[in-house]
Amino acid sequence: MTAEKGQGKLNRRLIRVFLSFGVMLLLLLLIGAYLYFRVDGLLNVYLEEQGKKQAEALSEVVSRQFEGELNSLATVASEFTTIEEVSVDALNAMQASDRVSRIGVQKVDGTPFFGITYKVHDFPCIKRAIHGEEAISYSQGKGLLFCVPAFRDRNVAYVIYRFYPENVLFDYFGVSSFGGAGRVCVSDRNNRIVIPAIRNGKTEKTLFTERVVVDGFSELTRELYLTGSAATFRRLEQDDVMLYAAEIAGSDFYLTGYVPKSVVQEGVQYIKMVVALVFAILVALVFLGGFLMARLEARAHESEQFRALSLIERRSNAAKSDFLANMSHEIRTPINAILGMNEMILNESGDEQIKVYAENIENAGNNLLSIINDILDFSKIEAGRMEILDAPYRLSAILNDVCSMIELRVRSKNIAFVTDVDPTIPDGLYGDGQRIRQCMLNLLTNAVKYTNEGSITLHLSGERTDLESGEPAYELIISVKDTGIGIRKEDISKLFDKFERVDLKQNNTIEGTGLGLAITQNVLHLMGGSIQVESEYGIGSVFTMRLMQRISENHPIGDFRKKKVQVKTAPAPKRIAYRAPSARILAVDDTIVNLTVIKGLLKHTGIQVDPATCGEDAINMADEVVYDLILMDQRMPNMDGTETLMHIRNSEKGKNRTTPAIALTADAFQDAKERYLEAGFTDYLSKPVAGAALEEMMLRYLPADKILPEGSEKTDPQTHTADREGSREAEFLKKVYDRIGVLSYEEAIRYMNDDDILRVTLTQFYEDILPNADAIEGLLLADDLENYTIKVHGLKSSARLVGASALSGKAEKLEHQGNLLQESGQEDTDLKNSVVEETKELLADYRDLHEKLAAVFQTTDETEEIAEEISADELHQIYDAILEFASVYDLDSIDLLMKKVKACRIPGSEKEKCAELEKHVRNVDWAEIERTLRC
Amino acid sequence: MKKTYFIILGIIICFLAGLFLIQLTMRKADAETEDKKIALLMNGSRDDLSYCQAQYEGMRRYELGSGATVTYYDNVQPDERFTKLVKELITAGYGIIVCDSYVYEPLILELAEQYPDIYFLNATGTQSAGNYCSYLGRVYQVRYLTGIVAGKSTKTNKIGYIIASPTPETIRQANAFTIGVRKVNPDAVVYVRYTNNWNNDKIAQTVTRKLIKEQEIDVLTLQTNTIMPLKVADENGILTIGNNRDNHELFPDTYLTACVFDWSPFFADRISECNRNRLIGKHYWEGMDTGLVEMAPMTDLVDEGTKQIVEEETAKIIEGSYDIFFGPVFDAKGTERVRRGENLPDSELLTHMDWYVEGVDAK
Repeated sequence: MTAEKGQGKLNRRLIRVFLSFGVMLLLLLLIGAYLYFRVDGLLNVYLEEQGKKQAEALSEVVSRQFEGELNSLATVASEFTTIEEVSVDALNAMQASDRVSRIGVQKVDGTPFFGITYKVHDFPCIKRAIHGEEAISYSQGKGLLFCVPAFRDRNVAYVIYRFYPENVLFDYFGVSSFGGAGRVCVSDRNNRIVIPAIRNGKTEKTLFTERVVVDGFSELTRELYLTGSAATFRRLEQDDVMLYAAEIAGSDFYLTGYVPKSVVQEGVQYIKMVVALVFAILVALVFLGGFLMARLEARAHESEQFRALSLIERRSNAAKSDFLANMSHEIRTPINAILGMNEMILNESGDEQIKVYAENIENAGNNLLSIINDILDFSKIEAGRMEILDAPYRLSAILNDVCSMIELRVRSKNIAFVTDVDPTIPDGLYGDGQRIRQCMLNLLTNAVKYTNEGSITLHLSGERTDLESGEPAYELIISVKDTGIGIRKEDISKLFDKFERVDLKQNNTIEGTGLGLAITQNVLHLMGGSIQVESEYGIGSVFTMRLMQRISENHPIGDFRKKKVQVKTAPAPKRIAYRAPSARILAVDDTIVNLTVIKGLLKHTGIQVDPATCGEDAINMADEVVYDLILMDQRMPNMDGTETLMHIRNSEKGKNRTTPAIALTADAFQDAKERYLEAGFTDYLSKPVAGAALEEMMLRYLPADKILPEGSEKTDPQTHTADREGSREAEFLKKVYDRIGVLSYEEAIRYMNDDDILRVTLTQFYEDILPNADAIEGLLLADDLENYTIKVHGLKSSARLVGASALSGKAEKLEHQGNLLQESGQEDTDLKNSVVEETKELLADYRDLHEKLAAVFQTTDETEEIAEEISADELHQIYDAILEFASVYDLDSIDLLMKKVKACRIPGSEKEKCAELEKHVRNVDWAEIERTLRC
Repeated sequence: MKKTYFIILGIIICFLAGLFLIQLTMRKADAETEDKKIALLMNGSRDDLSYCQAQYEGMRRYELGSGATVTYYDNVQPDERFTKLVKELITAGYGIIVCDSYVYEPLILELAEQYPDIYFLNATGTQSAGNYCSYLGRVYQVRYLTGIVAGKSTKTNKIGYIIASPTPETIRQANAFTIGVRKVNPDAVVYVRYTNNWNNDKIAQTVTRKLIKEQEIDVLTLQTNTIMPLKVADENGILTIGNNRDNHELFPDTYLTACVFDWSPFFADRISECNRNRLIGKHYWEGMDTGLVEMAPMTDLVDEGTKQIVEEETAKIIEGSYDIFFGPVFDAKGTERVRRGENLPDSELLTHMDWYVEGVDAK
């Protein structure tokens, strides 16, 4: 699911990256195209400018030539008009030296004077010369005529001209451009070519008469007339060419030419190349940038995935440890019950034989507990939460424990258990006795498991090896030798792997977690010790542990078994029955059922219990009364137990600054205890609270002067009534449970021990359902996950108490999910959705239970038939009394009165009021009690 | 991410802005022909039966023949009103402004510089610009021919010539006329009288009447914008030779011929050049060879022999082998201004003619 989603996210990201990349590329291409055309355009304009300049330069050349011709004629003309006769000779001389051109002179009226005479019709320049202008005319097929007037005084007297026949024009006036790559010709206004361009030695006129070229030149004309020169690019067949034109000053001709674009562009192309290169670099940079961006994106994505994965891992780890904790919790509770019962037997039975049995039960139970503990231990080791104590212990006690357990086991098998303990070993050592015991037990139980005949030997020896600091220490060498099946050499290395059980074929009947050796090795490592194995397959194995321990009491152990007997013969501490009616304690728990349970469990001690359902109430109450003890639930909405206690301790009134406080918690890990002690608690109790443990706590922490031994006060008649009523209650409850079906009476009574308490608890549970369900629903809707989780947590425990284990299970699951959600900062929408869904289911079940209970509670009033009806007067007297007690907050007295009322049949008119009153009394809601009674 | 986009966008915008800052002086390469709207602005009235009417009719003929759009304005004063009108026309989309007098030239030169995309054409101007073209006709060539007609037609050998004022232009024309007269009638005298006003009928009438009273003239021609002198002559049974426009229908009993313009082909050529953006901004001085100036058909009052001579002379002029001021030319004081075999250059003709030829009696 997450992977798919991740994939989808990745795809979307990739698409986004590619899309933005594509857009960038497109933009770049557009810019590139624009840039290209822009640069091209700029260069063309530049080149055209150059073309124009070239044309101007060329036209200047031609113009100079023409001017030169005209000037030379004008020189002749000026001489000619002054000294006529000499000039004719000069003309003759000129003509003689020039074989190509012909010089001529005619009078204004056309009369020939020298050389050939030309007609004005052919050469209009003659007419212009007659009118006093120098002029040049071209006549197609004939040639070019330069013509100047010869003045006498101010009037035109002669016209002098020089004629160049058409075939020599190029040789005399031809120009070449661009090193011969271009073609230039001179045309007149009618686009007739006067001086042709030449190519391959032949004059060329064709190109200049082509339509494209003519059009091109036409296009240039306006600019030509405006500025004297022009140039433009045209496409000619395959080649791009630049056409250019310029007026030839002093004539009606103009110069036209073309040159292949490639020639003009020579060198300019490098500019284009540079631009292209720069652009390419730009594109490359964008690519690079895009690539880096994509990489960054991918990396970000990866780290996100990694985060998601690690979240999953954390969750699964959390789920695992939760599972382990829960399992241990679930299993330990009944075992504790068994052991507790057994303890009572041990305490109360005088029959030695029964005591022996009971002891065996105790051992077996403890053994079972140790398996659970193994699992818990291992999870602690895995989580790195295993803690090693450093406290004084007695080795002999451990050995006795261990031996008695192993002896029990060995008894069912045909093997001998031999202990060989060096009597000089110091008995008092520092260390974690529990763990050493655990390690020994692990090795021994393994030995028992795998040995079918022969013997098991526990050998203890060691050496006094003081520490460098001079502290007395002892190196313990503990070895366990068996004559069992042994271990193959190749399996020895696998031995300490978790869940590893070697040689499965042979051992498939052997039970166990397979964790023992792994735990042993780990624990030993933690204690600075080591373990070694020697084994011969089929013959047996020896496990040897070495461990340094500081000596606390250098008293040799001697025969440890004697010490065991001593312990055994000493009477086991009896569960002391006591009463403490003058003691007053504060119990804080958001789940009213739990408060009810505590009250119920302490009922026979007479201890006065003030309930508070939240931290704020508790603080207020603690300001009013000096309590002898405070019981504080940890998980509560708004303000948790630690915080509440802090407020109580730091309160200005300071009434409970030193009052012992006991944390109530479902947390099974050991470090939890320390955490609470650090937070200022005096001690802690595991939930659900067992009666014995609670009583013991009271005994331990209540002021000694308030504790009276049982029987020192007159027996409360109520107790008897309760007992009598107890059996009736039990029957009734069983009936209720039968009718409802989904609840387990057995489970409930396991926690309650008392039908009376159970009934009160169940009623409370029933009344809580609707408001509680609404609250859970509301909190989830409001996204208040913290308080939602706390509420669900409350439901989990209260449901378990009344035996609604399925409901409790669901609530528990939701509690975990709620915790996870809080951890992940509500980001995980999948989890959120599942929480919402499952909450709906839970609430449906929860409310369903309300309906079922309602049906029962409404018909259970059959007791009333039997009971005698209470009169209205009597009832009102009781009301007044309750009101009075309420004013001094005497809940006990009110309870008594209420019980009396409940025992009777209540007249119909008062039923409603009574029910309401009962509810408020149960909730200890003083204001409501008063309001109900006064109306 | 968003920040990166903004940076990239900024770079691109800077880049584009930079590209646009490199301004291209893009040349207008519009070689295509477009029919520009034309306005003709005249300094007289379009029905003056003379110069302005000749302009008007010439343009009108062009307009009808080409389908161009022409708007005509009469009596446009050569001051800020002219400038204002031209600007309005340009705003209204007119592309060619045609004027008919040298009086507008200074204003036109300013406007031509201001509006390089608008073409200006102006008759009798002498300057030019890239988009301004001025033109004159070599009317003197026609004057020479009408002079031949006059010389042949006079019995008294006295010919009247009413001129608004003596300028190189009017003197040149009077001289050419006189050369024509004396070519066929060496004893004839041309009496030139000035009105000192181009348009005033009353003055023209008075001056003409005075001339008739003083001299026994039997042929009269003129160079004024009013045709009053012709009217007076006609009333007195004196033969008339017109100018600018052929008015033979007005004076059927006395009209011999006239110097006329045919502006239409010239307008057609120039406007076509403008439409193709090919106008050459220069000064034209067009003679009979281009057809801008010509002689009106001679009436039946002119005999065939005279017509023969005129045709021969016309051919020579058009061909270019003869021009009016070929020597010998003597001035009124008997000085030889142009020797045989010589010619007066255009520069002299156009701006320096301040003398009358032999045979002119100018007062």
